[in-house]
Amino acid sequence: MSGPVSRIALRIVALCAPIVPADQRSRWRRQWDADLSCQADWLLDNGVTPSGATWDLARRSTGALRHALWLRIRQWRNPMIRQDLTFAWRSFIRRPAFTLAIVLTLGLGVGANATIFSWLDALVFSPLPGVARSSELALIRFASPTRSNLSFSYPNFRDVRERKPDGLSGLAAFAMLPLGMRTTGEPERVWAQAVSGNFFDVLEVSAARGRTLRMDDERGIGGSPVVVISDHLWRTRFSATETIVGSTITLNEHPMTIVGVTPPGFIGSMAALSVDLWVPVTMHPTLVGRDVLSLRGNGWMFALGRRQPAGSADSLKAALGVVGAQLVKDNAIPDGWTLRVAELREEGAAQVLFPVLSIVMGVVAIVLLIACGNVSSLLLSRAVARQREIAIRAALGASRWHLLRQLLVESLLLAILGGLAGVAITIWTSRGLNALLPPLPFPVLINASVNPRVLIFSAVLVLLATMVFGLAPALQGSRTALQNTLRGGGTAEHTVRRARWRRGMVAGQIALATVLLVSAGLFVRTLLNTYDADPGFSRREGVLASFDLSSAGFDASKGRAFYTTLLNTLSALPEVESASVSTILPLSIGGGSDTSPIIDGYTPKPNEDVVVFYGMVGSNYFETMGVPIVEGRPIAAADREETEKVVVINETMAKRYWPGRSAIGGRLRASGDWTTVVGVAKNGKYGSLTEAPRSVMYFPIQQVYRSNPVLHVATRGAAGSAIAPIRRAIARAAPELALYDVRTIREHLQASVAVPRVGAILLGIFGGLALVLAAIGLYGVVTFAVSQRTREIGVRMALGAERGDILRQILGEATRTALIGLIIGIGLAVIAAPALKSLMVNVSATDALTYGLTVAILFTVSVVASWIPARRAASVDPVDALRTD
Amino acid sequence: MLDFDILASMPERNQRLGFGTVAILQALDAGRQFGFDIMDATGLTSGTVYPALERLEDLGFARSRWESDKVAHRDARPARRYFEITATGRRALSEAVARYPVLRATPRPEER
Repeated sequence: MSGPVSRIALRIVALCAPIVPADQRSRWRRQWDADLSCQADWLLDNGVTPSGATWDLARRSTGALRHALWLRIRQWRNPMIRQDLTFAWRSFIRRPAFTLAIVLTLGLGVGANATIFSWLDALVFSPLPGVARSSELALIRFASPTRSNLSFSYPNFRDVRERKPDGLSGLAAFAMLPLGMRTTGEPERVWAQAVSGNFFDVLEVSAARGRTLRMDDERGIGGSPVVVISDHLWRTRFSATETIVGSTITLNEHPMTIVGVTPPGFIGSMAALSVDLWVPVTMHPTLVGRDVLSLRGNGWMFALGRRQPAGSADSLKAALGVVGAQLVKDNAIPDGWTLRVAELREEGAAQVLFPVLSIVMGVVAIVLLIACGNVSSLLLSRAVARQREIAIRAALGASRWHLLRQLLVESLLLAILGGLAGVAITIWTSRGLNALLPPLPFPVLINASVNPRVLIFSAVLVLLATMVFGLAPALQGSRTALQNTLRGGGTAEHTVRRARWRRGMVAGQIALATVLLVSAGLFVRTLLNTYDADPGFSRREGVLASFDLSSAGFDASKGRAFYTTLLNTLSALPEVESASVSTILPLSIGGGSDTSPIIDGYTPKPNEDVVVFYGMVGSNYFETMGVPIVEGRPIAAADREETEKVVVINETMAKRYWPGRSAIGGRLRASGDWTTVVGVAKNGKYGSLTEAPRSVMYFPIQQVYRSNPVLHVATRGAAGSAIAPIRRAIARAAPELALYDVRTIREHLQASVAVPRVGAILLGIFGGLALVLAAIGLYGVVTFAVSQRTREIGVRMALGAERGDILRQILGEATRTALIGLIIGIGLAVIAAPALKSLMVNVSATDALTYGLTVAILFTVSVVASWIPARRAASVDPVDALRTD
Repeated sequence: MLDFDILASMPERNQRLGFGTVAILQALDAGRQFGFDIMDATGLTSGTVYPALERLEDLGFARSRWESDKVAHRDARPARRYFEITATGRRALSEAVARYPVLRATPRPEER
């Protein structure tokens, strides 16, 4: 009678039943079924309608879920887990070598991952140490139809700031500014940022001493000669003097008053670049001797906005769209330009390192997988040794779940120990990225450390690793054929299955190691190729040196005269073949500027933006750098301030704006006067060897004056030995001028290959680690297989098998495994390698040499790793072998 | 099975009972024997009552018994698990009632 009304309730109970621990499940079902059916009878007997009864029973049955969960949790809270832990701990102490091998393997895997994560974390999640809620900060850039990262001019920045786009609580601007700082004696080079008055307000950084900069510091050119210094500079250069605020330092030969010191840790507003001084942007013209503040077409500043926490990305985008359209309408920016939001990691050192580190992150994940493979293999072999123990426990009533749980608890404990080892390694290695970088002309500082995010990441890794390496051995271990094991032997089927599993795992490890070695190889090839690639200038012996005439108090006319004297003096030296100056340096990270010239006779298509990279060069520049002039003439000493304004362009620009005809005699206007194209130079690489060709203009530095070019000297002999005579000659010509970053062209090229170098070093390290781990894995598996088969080998030898036969058989099996792994690995590498394409120079993703070498190395290592245990097996004495077990 | 023994051997633990648990104990003391009965007597949900009964049993304040199949068969219904309060449970209840004065004012179900 009660059947239909209790159907739903009984269904609910049945659904909850699997949650209840198995040993209590049937009792639990009986209790609920009985209570429900009695209740149903009672309800119907007391005149409740069937639908009312159905509803009442269904409501009552919902408690079954909580009841079931409660029973399950009670079982988990059970002190048995503590017992498992104690048991596991004791078994580790009993086998210290086994435990240590696992903890170290996992420690290396977790440590490698946590290290790379800590570097990425420093670049992505906490790019600006010392800045509150730095995730709210973003760069605001201009985008044209073809380029997405155009900088702000000061007038454009002020226009956008005044319009207060919705979604931004503030907008500041900054530009990197190298300065000569003189406290006493020799000037030294320091990195500053020229910043808008609200810079510190937007960053929400207040001074540790004195004050930061304010809006009223951003007034009239040269109106506020004040500077805020970093805590680092205060400690290292001013011995943490208490009375620092109010004292005066000389920057580029201009006295400036220190008004404040920033809090410790603050390094400025550019991800991974460490800055020591902040000056009001309105001091920029005074400090560099040139006024760029009024030039609207000249982008040189970064705009940094703080997003409102509640605002959405879309509404900010819309607000910037409105402001951008207004700027276009006001003719402040060209048609087709828009404003966009860029994350901090898209600029500075982060921009360069992020792609490489992302790849390395993937690589270390694979290293961890290989490490897990080894640990899994070790645990599996131990599970075999423990078969008897496990069988006894099963015979004494331990359920499969109980055995599984105990084995998993052991794995988890091992993983936690490995994780701790990994974190310990990371504390040391997280600072290592700075050491991998070659000397760079920028103050790169990657502020990585073991922070809570890194710890959480490591903890998640530990849990995942436990699942990866612990589950298989635990499942296998708990599936013990009870009677067979206790009877001793007869586990052939299990042994075969386990052996196959382990072999599969080793093949997988070799496959993954293949992928890593191939990518490491491709990176090394890239690194080697960057030394051979054609950068558009001859890689001759030479010296580069930076200086800034404005820091030595030269104005433009004195500066022009000095360039002539300097180049004449240097060319007269016996060590020097030719000398010049240039504001652009081939293959440098950052540097150089873009402009949008008007080109006579060329009408841009709608939405086409004319953006050209440009620099100022002295006479003899093309000769000094070995840049061939393909048409016309180079910049010459005769191109002076008072002569006709001229420009040399590169092939890309000539082809694009004077298609099908000679560019010589063509005219263009960048800012100010019309200039005439007098020569076309061969294309070169300006940023990196992988960049796409871009349009470039070279103006004579005598006509478009700059005070801070780089001195380029081509030397006759070894560049190193020419440095001292060059320094002496300059000291004679201008005693007050400081030279900095004096380096040979070779050294400069080293810096320019920083990224492939970091990639090659890291992938080399982790590829090597993967190789070693895979070799250990293979060695372990062969050793174990041999030890399991001692008796069989003994029998076969007793029956007349030769030592060579045994050796051949074991080696044959091992090499088969290795070959399968290699074939899979090559397949995976062919699929994966194109992902590296953007970072490779002149290397095909299927580079035969790299693949060939990888196969050779891995195969050799595999043979050696299996030959050692195989030989040991073959030298077994049949009598001893038969006596075992 | 071992877990029951271990928990049952520690009845002194968690002596401070929650209001709901005391109400259930009171219902048991009043002679209510089945989960749904106790639900109706206390106004608590089944999701509270069933785990609470398990916990009271773990603490030794209640014990459960299965009706004999014979009795159940005679009444043409499945055998039920019924609960009763133990002596320890009665002691704990009187202490708890002293602590929650509001419970004293509540008429015992059997007196209704």
